[in-house]
Amino acid sequence: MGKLFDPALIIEYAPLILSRLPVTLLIVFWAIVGGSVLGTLLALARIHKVPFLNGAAVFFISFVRGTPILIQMFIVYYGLPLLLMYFGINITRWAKLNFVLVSYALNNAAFLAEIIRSAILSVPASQSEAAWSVGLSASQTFRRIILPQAFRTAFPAFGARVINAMQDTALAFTLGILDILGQAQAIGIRTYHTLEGYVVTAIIFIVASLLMEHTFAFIERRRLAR
Amino acid sequence: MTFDASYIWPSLIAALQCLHVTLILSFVSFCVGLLLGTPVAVSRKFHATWTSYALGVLIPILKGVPLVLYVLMFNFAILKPLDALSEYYAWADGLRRMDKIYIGLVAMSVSATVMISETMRSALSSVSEGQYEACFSVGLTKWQALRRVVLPQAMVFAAPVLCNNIISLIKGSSIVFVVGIMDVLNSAKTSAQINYRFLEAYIASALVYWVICATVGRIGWFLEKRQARGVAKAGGA
Repeated sequence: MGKLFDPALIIEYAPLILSRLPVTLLIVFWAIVGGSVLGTLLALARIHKVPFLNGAAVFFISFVRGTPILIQMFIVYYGLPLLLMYFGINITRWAKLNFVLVSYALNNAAFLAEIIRSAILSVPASQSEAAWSVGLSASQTFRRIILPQAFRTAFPAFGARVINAMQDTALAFTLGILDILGQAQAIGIRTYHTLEGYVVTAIIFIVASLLMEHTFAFIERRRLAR
Repeated sequence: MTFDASYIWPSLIAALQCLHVTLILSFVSFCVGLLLGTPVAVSRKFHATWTSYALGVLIPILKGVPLVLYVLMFNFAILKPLDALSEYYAWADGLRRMDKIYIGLVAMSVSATVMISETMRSALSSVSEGQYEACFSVGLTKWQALRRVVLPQAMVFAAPVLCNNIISLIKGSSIVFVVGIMDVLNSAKTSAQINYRFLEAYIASALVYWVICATVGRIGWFLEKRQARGVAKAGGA
């Protein structure tokens, strides 16, 4: 083994590791998109106290918030094929990345549901009443009056969630996904220079978090300020 | 292979045997984080010396690194130099068998310090400036004002958030299996290696984490309610 830490290798490995950045961003994208859709449904089930669904949502949110995402990922990986087998769907040949996407979307759905729920509840009831009085239907009221106002309230927490989701993707390598950290590990196994790869990964995470943080702060200041 | 709930029980026993490791990792790093993070927050708030500016640059950078990277990097950075030393002095592989929990503790403490310093900073800024002015007007020094008036008030605001931080640390501690520390998750997983009942093992460890986190979350909920009552009693802060 040569030197413990060779700074020159950081520059050599950077393009290799950066080439896997799309995988990380793909996970974040689907986690947030899937999480937002499912999270809104969960939030609505809780707000309207839909029988059974409300209880299921409380149970699901509590479970997701109370257990590590690492374990959720493995439960989805081992459990989802078994569950879908009951319905006659065979997904044992699915790529591993799909399981990661499903588990990250489910995880973010629980966190986003709480953010969306408190944001929707923060919109005064008089807004819905005013919308109904001018003849809007329930779904129109929700889509055009409540959701835009709730979005404004939820935005800072939503931004923090996106950054958290991105940092959580660092765990996907434990399932063998070649994201940026997985690539750093692979390089480490091949060349015995692990630390340099980790440094590159850390720099990518730092830059991405700072970029996102400042972008969200900028949008909040510019677009959402009244 | 089908799901068989009866396999959860042995994994649960195995997981509970390593419960103390998870608790030590999360609570010790929480205490370190509170002890180091509070001065960091205070220093950043008052722009005391050049260190405050250095911390102002450093903390947002350190915040961007996921916990798993801290664990992996510290594992490497602490063990590898010792490897070279042990080879030189022929210490055999004594260091190889060193309890890796110390590496987990160092990594998690760094992460906790960064996290808690942000919590304490927002708690400090929730105490109004008038409190300092009132303290100075009755002749308290800056340090006295901070210790006797501002920090106790900030702690009330911080308490529910600190509970959330503990939950994050408990959940985050599950990642230490990547360097081979035997915590709740790793122990449950190892117990499944004889029969390949991994799903049952993961569910068993999830139950353990769920119970601990729900308990801490309940305490946080209680503190939040009490804080809301206190603010209402004070006529709205």
